[in-house]
Amino acid sequence: MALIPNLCKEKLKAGEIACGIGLRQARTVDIAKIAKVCGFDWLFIDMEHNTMGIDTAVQIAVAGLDAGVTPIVRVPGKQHFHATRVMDGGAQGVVVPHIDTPEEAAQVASNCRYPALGHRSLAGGPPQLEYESIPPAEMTKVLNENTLITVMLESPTAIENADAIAAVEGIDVLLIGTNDMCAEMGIPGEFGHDRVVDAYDKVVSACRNNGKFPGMGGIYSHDLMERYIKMGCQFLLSGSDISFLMAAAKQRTSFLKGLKR
Amino acid sequence: MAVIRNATKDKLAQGKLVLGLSIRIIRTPEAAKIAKATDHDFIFIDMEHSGMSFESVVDMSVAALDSGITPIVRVIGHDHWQSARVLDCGAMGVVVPHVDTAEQAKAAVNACKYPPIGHRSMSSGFPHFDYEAVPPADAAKKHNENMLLAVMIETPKAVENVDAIAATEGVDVVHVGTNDLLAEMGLHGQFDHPKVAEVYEKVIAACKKHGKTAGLGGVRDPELCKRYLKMGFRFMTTNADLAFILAGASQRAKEMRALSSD
Repeated sequence: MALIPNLCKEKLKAGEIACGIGLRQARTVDIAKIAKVCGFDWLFIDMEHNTMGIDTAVQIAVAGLDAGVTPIVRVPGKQHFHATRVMDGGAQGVVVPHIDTPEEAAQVASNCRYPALGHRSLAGGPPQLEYESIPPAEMTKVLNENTLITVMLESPTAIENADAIAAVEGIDVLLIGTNDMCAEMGIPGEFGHDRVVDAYDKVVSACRNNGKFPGMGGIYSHDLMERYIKMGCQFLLSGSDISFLMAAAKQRTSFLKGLKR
Repeated sequence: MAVIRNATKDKLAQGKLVLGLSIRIIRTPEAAKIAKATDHDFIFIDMEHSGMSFESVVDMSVAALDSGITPIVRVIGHDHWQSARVLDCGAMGVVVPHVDTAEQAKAAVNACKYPPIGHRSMSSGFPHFDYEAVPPADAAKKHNENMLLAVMIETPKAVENVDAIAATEGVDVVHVGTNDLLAEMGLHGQFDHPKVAEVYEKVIAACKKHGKTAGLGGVRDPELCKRYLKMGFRFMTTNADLAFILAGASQRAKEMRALSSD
């Protein structure tokens, strides 16, 4: 059987960090190769905060499979088809934003896992298996194992429920959406605030107690990244195509304009 | 320096047969993965006989690089930018249709090969090199070595000129477009006509003389493929995505209809 391994999930299981790049502006499959060449482990193909179409998201995902960078889509909503269509098309995982309760997390797991774990509907010969047609019992087992399901915790309610959410079978990663969480806490942008540190502490221990992986999103200052990674965060949003493009572009214009003529 | 090899060209250098899947109706990067799963060496992305855009061509090409399938594009015409744009963005080979003269073959070389062999214009940030910044001299040399240029012989005039066409430096494959050639000869569709074998002999002799690969195009009948491949062709497409869908789907429908007819 020709299974394309979920490299991101393997890294997480090995206790390593897995670096993801947010895709907001890219619309061609080059970005998968580019991400790989730049050292990223997974693609965070974002359908929540941009207008990328599902066709484009899936094309980038398919290219990611052979480029050796795990394609993961952040879906825009919680309906089952948001997640299943991109996974049927080639994604090796989804990130579902704004999950506040274990009930919501259980619904995500149910949508994304094949029976007996959940109730995802079967499609035929997926690219993750090189289109091989294998018996459904084996296919559902292998794909359940090789798919990474992440829920995002982005509110005080979600943090309070972290332990119960982490206990939900079928969920692999609890990713803190720090930006939205701070806004909901009334401390917008205060990413180093004690309450944020507490939230990370709580989510990391919830993950440890339940064999899940903690993730960090929205933190881009080096000292805070280091702090939360040292606390145990493994599944990392490292920045986005637009942020990297702007940083490098600004540096170049500033250099050129600073030259003495 | 990270250079993605042209596996098709490597195989041809070893004298092996290479098979392409012709892409006419697929528009997604899955084309290469499907070609790989069905034991092909290259995808023959056909811009001449389809409505696909440069964007789709390049998306399929870039994805193919990582799938280990060589992306080769049949361009629409002889303008230099048709070949150069797809090569800049991910294709590793170009098939130029309807080449009748050595001058036209040379024009194709000029469009596809960098100086000193041709006059292709230098770009940068190539997916073929994993986007590494490669010094222009190295980039030009590697691209010239790696890219595969096929020119198509599709008229009696081209057959007359085949020796000079094959002699053109920079041309790797002389590919016979048998279907159009037969139409031009007034022998539409007669792939087993004795004149076909005569043309093939001439093309293969020219290729052998000049160290080029001969390509067999348009022949789909298994018996004829067997007969002609024995003559020395090494480059061919198996068929088009569309043809495979038509064949597989009509076969299955026929089977199902047969089940319910009793």
